[in-house]
Amino acid sequence: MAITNQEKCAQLLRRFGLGAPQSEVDSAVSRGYSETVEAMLAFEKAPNEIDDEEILTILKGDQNAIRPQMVTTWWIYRMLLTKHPMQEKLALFWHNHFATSGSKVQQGQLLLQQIQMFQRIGATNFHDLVLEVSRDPAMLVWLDGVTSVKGRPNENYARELLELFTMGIGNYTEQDIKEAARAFTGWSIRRATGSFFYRADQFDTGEKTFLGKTGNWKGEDIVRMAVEHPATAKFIARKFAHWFISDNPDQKVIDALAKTLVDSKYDVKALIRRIAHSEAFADQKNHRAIIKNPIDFVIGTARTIGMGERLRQNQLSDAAGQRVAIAYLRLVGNILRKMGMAPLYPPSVAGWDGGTAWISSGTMLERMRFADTVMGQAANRQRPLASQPPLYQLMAEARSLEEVVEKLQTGMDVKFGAETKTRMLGFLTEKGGLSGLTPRNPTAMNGLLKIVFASPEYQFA
Amino acid sequence: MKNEHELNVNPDRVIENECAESRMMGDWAPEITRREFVKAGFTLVAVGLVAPPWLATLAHAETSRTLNGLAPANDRILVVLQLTGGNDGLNTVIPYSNSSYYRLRQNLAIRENTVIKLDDRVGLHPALTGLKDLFDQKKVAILQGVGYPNPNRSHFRSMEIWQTADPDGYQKYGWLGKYLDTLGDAATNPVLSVSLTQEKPQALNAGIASVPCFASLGDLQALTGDAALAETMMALTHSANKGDNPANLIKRSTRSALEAIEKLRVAMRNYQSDVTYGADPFGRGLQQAAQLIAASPATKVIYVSVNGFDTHAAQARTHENLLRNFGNALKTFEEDLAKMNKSDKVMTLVFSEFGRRAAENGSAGTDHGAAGPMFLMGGKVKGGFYGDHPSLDSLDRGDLKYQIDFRSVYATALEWLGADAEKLIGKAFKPVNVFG
Repeated sequence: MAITNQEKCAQLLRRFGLGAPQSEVDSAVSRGYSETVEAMLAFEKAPNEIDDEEILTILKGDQNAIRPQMVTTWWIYRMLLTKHPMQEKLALFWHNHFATSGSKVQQGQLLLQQIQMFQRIGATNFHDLVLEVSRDPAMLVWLDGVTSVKGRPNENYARELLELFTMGIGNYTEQDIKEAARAFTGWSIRRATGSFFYRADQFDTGEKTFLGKTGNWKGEDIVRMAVEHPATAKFIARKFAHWFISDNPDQKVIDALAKTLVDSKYDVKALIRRIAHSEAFADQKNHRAIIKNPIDFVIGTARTIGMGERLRQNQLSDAAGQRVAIAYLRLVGNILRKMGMAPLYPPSVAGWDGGTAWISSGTMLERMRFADTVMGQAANRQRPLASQPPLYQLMAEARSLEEVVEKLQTGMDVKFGAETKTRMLGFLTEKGGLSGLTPRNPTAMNGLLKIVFASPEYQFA
Repeated sequence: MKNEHELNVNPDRVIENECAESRMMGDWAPEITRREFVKAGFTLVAVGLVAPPWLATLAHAETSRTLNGLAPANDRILVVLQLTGGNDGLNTVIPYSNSSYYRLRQNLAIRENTVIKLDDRVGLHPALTGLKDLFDQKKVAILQGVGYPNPNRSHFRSMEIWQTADPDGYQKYGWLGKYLDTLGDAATNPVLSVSLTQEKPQALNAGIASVPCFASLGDLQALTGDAALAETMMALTHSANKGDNPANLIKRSTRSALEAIEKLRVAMRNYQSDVTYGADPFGRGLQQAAQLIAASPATKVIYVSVNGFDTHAAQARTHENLLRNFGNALKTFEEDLAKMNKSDKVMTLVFSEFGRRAAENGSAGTDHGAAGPMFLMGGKVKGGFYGDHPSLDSLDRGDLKYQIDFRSVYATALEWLGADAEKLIGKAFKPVNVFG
């Protein structure tokens, strides 16, 4: 059974975007589903309304260099404000896939370049992307490519390229890793400019045997052979299916996506279109079938209830506006870290595990505590962008508690089951009913939000 | 019809409502030991009304365990310390008298005159002074060349193998999770095991036991002083059943968080220690483990993980710092345990997903390898070496060959906990005889 067009539009904005208020879902419905998919994909053509330099300058303050944490904050800012959420979602997808951490790459500028590269070419061609990543300065530092020279190859990048970035475990041998590592010798960076630098004299020109083929392979050849290996399309298709269709995608769905990837010569846009228009995407059984990662949860909620828009209206040109923005972004960064997903700080080169790994007692506690951030109670005196207007406005016209719950569902893009509804009503009744839900009594709204954030229903995208 | 559940007579629910009130009345019993639980079990279940729900259920489980003729679980504790990233075992426990070591490690070899010599062949990295003290006190067993057949060099697959104790398959449950499930109070004790990690390690995946994970015990602050909210949360998570679907997992995680907080927060409040730990991940992790041991007698297994051992380049400084913090934290931890008179009740097991390649690479680092040392520490552990250092002249594709199967070490740990190791691991592995 297929979901309704309305549900499908909302799902598109949740999964390929970063959540959206009801008004945006409504305009997607009236514009038409296919047109919305195309509009989201056309982000390269539309002007970018976010001034990266401006926000980075503010974050930098009087410091000389960009630190990795500033890149995290910058990215959170973009995710909260962007009008092209698919661009950020894909960049996040690739950041998770080619996970690189500020814990080792301590030059923020290199990390910034890497994320900007994902933003720029994240929706183009997978082969080009792997090649760019292989030459990316942050990656070369992260997986020790910078030190890999003729006669002394470093295996780190070669191993992860095959295991995590392309073919997946079981499709190559330890010897393939060693040979591939030789082909990447001499791929280095210029420290001063933070740019890729090929040290021709440090390249191992000898013959290498990779995946059963012998030749004077260069790094480019290894990338090409790894990308073209049949296991790669399946590996990448599976990852897309996990992020965009279901935590438990069917094998035949994955196989079909892999075929699309091969047929389109690894075109990412073709893959996205195929997913968005697939039966699986519209299937009831895959509706709300992905456990939200912390960014979906936090940024998605903020955008859905209008806090992203409020941050956009905040003036960065004056000092007060800058303080509000920075305080709010730090708050969001902090909660993302506590939930286990600070951008630029993946736990390992494999990125974040995803699925049920997001759910532990510790992270559920943080999901509940997000209510304090939303209500402005986590920010001591500043109360930046306290959500009172968006949420209370949502409730304003409700004439009964049942209606409050209905409006909460629409306004927060969630569908509660009977049990959750019953408990919410019971809680609200104890808190004084409708008259308790006023800005004068924030504990009722805070408690209600904690119930929402702890509910099983709200964990799914 | 406001609340369908209230129309049914559900004894648990009644207890819970009462308990919500008792929570509001302030602190409950400051501390109570496992034995006291058993003794008090009948009374508490009968009285029921004054005990917080975790205690009532705990007492109930202990009681039914006794009634069913099962021995109560022993009072021993296992702490697992994971060195994430693949520790370079060859530069941890060093065959300093072997010329092959210096041939393989031209830059990274630890000079013989700086090695902390433990016997005439093998010594410790110079940063491991803390571990050396424990060795001298005969409290640490060094198990040499631990591994398994056909070792996997992927961090992720290898960690999965270690955590499930299954090199050939893909098991859902972890080796410790399976153990927790055998305990009578697996379903009811919210702090049977605590993981000091953000995500639950696969080792603690269980069918019945729910393991709370807190990146830091500092997170144990009250969610809210709001009794109506606390009651709603408990009720909302009450319907979770044993099924593995995500909704149940979400409810169980929330519930175990709430129950663990309720239990641990009060217990921790009075914890004080005059032992000073380092302000590094090892120090912080083991200090919190000590806090749990001091304050929570219902906790059997504690899991700590420290990252940073994936040293492919410029390894020397990084590895030195990691080892120093590791050795010092272990030593401080043991001192802390001795002071609280728990040294004989706690065993610490240290592992990493693999060792590094025997030869260093060209970047003054080491690539992924195979066998490496493990450590078992505790007052009841008979310190010393177990097994010989793996040969450096008979390598398997450049890697050290294993001599002790890691499942033998697990069997030792499970034996420590009083469990049936063969049943849990699925195959008989002879425990390493570290208890003398």
